[in-house]
Amino acid sequence: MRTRSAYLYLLPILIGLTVFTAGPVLASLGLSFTHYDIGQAPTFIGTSNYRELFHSDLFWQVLLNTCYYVLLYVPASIIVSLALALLIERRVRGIAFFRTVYFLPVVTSIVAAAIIWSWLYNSDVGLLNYLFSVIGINGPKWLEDPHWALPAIALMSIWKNAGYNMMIFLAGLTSIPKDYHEAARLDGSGAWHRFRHITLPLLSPVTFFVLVVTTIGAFQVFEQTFVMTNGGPGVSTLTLSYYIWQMAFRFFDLGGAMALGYIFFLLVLAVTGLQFLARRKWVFQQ
Amino acid sequence: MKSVLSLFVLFATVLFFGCGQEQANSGQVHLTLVHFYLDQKDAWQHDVVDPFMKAHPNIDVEVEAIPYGLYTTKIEAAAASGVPLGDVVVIDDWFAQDLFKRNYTIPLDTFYHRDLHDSDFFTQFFTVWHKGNVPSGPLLAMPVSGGVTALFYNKDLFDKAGLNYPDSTWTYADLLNAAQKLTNNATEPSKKTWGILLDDGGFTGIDTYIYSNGGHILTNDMQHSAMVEPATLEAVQSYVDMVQKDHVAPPPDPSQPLGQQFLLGHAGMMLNIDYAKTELAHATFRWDVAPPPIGSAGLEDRENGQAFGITTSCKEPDSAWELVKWIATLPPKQGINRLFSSAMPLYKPLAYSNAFLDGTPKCNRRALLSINNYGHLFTLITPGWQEWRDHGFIPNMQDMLAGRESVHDGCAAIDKMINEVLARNRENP
Repeated sequence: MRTRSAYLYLLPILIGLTVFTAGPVLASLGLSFTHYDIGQAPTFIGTSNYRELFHSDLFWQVLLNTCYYVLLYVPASIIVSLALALLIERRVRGIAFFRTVYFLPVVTSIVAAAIIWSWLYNSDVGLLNYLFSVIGINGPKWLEDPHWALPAIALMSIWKNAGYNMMIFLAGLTSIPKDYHEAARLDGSGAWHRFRHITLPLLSPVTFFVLVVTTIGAFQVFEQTFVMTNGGPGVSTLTLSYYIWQMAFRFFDLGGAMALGYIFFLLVLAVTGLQFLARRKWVFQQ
Repeated sequence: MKSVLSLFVLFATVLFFGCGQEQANSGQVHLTLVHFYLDQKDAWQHDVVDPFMKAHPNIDVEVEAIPYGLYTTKIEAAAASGVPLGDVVVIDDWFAQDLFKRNYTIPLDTFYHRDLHDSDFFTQFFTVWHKGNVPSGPLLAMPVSGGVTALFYNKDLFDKAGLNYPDSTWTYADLLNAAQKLTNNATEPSKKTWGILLDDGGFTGIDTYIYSNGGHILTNDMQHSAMVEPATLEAVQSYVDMVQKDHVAPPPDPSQPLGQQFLLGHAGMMLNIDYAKTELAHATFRWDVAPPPIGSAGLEDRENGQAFGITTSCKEPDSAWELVKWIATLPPKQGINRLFSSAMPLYKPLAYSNAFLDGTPKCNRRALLSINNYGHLFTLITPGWQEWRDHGFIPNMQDMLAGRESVHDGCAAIDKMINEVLARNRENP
């Protein structure tokens, strides 16, 4: 009787998961093997959508763009977040103010932030190039140059999201027992030595979590390219999520979009799997 | 329990049949008008729907305004479900053929020929509203407004350079000449002035340029690309030259909306779709519009605009036609042009009325109307056109304009993309 009532309590969430998550996930797998443009009933075309993608130069370019963005963003984002967390961990007067300031971009609308950064990056009237010109540097044409556009978007994303990871690192830092640091200090260890041999290893489970979550988030980059560059110049900032959106809701090629979605899913799954495999090598297990 | 159930059934039956009877007896017709003019919802209610209901007391119109960003998806989803949304719907040219293919709207030829006359309309704009983009196909939506490419110019900069304002006699040689005089050599961005801003492939000017100069993006049957034809290569080369050789136009900046430099007063001219004039309403300089210049092939302009269709699920097509006809033949009234985002009304009495011509923002609308007298319209809307434009035309045009790719290679890449997409769409119609 108790088991039955437990299932009854679980029923709403089970229905929700089936109808709104598991159902669409399975349906989209089936639909990825069809020609489907919303307006007409899907027709089975086998693996055509997948074959077309693998034979498309654009697909490989988009994949390359996405991986390049992930490589630019993830390490830099983690280093910046950790650095900020170390800075704001100190108990000094007014630290709450700085914690708030660093966290503010996280709660700022991504669209508003992207528009503001577009102006900051403007090669003619942007603040960034103006500051460079003050010190005699001719700044790049950030979003107009295909070589600079993706790094510029990655930089903006780091600013936007660093505060979130900073809070996770901060929680990790506060959980490290002070005794270890005090003992090391008594043994004459310097700050860098303590960071390298105490903080980093003990923080590694948190770093691993941040790495996995940040990598998945980086693969999903969408709003920044949507607002700041529309995938341009050329196709230099066209990323997988944006490409999926274009295929689904601009070109109404839903079958193709779902195939691309599954390739995307498998890619993220593979990368996350590799991260888990590599975990044993560097994550400190207490 | 039984008596309660019986009472409920009785109540429901009376409610259902009673209401239906009342509606049938009163002869009241209920229509739903679906549009995407969300920011002009009140104006549509006051200036269109209320006067219509007053003139047709037996027709009750409910308005459903959907944000533009969601409109197409909703309409497409409704088409998929087989139950079209609403009774009367506004349709943009760029997704019209898609809906027509799915029999979303009913043919209006009989209604049109019964009640309206060609002589009252700019019928050049009607082609895209016929099934298959051919005048012989059934007319599946009633065209109401049209957009053309316009040459916007900064009067302050023209005066400063001592140049005459553009007019309908201008050629592209005149445009280049003026652009050279308007461009200054300033290196400081705040003092830099460009002669002209160019569309980087979004079909808000480049299409008009290529076709007016003898080139074609698509073959006449719209089944293949014409991007590598010699005349097209020549037209694209001269377009790119304005940036790379003549240095009268800036390279494209995808991070800024087209027209930003013009809006900031840093460009003397801009080829853009005429809807852009609404964004210039608060410009801090004097500006005006002229028709696009004439090229070696005359003036060829891409037709676009909006029309109203009657859905196949509409139960009262006669009443719906009355509403469509009302919208298509609106009487002149102050502020009327805001209803269609300042686009050109295709109903001549309204287009030539002072209410439209002198509407805000103030500009030379007469000059744009004159395009109807000597310009020829074409369309580029094919199945999958957004895909070949977004993934082929725009990126390669940006690369060509920025000097990263030769015109020969860029046009070949666009040609390949167009042909691939068109072939795929032929296979999966």
